[in-house]
Order: sequence, then C-alpha cells, then structure tokens
Amino acid sequence: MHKENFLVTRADHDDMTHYLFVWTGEVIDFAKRKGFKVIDLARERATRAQFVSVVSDKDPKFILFNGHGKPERITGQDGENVVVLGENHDILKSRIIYARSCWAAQGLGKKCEEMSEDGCFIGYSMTYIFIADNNCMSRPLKDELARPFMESSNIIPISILKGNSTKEAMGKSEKKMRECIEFFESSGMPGHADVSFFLKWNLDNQTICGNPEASLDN
Amino acid sequence: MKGAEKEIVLERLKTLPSNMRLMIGGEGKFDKNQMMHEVENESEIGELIVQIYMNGIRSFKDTI
Repeated sequence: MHKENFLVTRADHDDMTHYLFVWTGEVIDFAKRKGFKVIDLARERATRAQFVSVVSDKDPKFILFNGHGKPERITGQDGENVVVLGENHDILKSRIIYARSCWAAQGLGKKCEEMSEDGCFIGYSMTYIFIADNNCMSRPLKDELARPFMESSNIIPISILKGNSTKEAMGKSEKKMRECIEFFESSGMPGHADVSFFLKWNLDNQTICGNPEASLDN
Repeated sequence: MKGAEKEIVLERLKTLPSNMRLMIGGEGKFDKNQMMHEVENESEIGELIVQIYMNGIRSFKDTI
C-alpha cells in the first residue's frame, strides 16, 4: 500500500456536494504542500470505474470520500454507486477511510472493521448535515454558518495527513466541534443556538470503526 | 414524533433567520418554512429535524 498516495473523491452535482467539493480544496492544498501525491477524482471522474482503476493502480493508503451515502454504499457524481457492500467493499480493506457520506459507518464502516485489524473507517452513522447561508451558496468559503461544520470535518483528513492516528484525528475534530457548539450556544445571535444543535448531531454521529491507532506513519 | 416535541421544534423554527438553510445529505436544502412544513406533516425529514432538535435541547439541558 502506498502511503504517499492520497485519493479523494469529490462529487459536485447539488448544493451539498458543491460545498464539500469546495471545502475539500483546503485539504487537497494541504496534502500537496506536504508532498503527497493527490489523486483527485472530481466531478465526472468521481465514478466507480475511475475509483476502482485508481485504487488498483495507485493503491492509496488513505482515501477521502465526498458523496452521498447509505449504510451499504458511498456514491460519487450524480449519485453513482462507487463502493457497495456485497459488491466491491473489499477494496477498502486495510486502508484508512474518511467518508463524508450519510450512514456509511453503519454498514461499510462496520464491514471494514471486520475485514482487517489494520484499517480504519471514520464516517457517520446517521445523516450528515450542515447549515449554510443562502447568501453564500455561490461562495461556500465565505459561508460563516457552514464554516464550523466544514472546518471541524476537514480537521480529520488534515490530521491524518500530518501522521496522527485516526483516534487523534477524531479527537481533534470533536474538540473543534465542541468549541464551536459552545460558541454558537452562547452567541445570542438569532439562529445560532440552533446551529449548535446541528453541530451536536454530527458530533454524536461521527464514528470510528476499526483500528484507532491506524496512521500513515505505521 | 410526540406532540409536545413537535410544538417545541416548530416554535424554534419560527425564530430562524430567513437566510439559514439546513443541508441534509441526499435530501437537499431546507429553509425555515420548508422545515416547518416537514415537521407539521410529520414526514421522514420532519422526524429527523425533531430528532436533531430534541437531541440538542436535551444535551443543552444536561450541561446547565
């Protein structure tokens, strides 16, 4: 397995995937600065065929998925199935996975845990949500309502790319989310307390399956 | 969805700023009126919204 290769899938076909597409740019830029070879399956390249081909060829140790999901699947562009339990889930074996996909930790994540002692799957056991500012839909990086969701989530792949363990990456993300929850709970601005509820939802459903000591350094 | 919970959530949703959108993976984006509609109709999305709010409210109560 090649730990210098970092595979990213970035669907971009609706508002939600567009936000993740744009905010993942921060992670990709960081990876490139650290010297990783980034394979960016963006938009029409976020397909099953491309994904399978790249994994076969480049054998990346760390994969970041951005796409909709169900317990048994992670999708790519236009909702195309990229990884499906019972079809090609073994492609995830022994790798470090972070999936920004609803529900996938429940099925695919659990399967990854069963498949190997080395790998780790970080994902969400229920629906992944975030708040956005309608005035910023065309400029997601300027969206201060979405920022706490996106930044606390980006901490996970950035932390892993730094060589931290998956447990450490989760811990840093959770710490950031708690800080944001506290900020929004106490801000007093209209709607901010509600933002804290939505952050809490992601915090409660962010799940680690498999080896918590998995890292790019071992 | 319990009646009291539904009412609590609907009252909270009324106070949301009009520019706020809830993005739900695979389901789309919802403004406050759309969220209230889903909660009022006790749809799957409505159930989710109530669950999120009650989870948050209970957690907030525990920290006080």
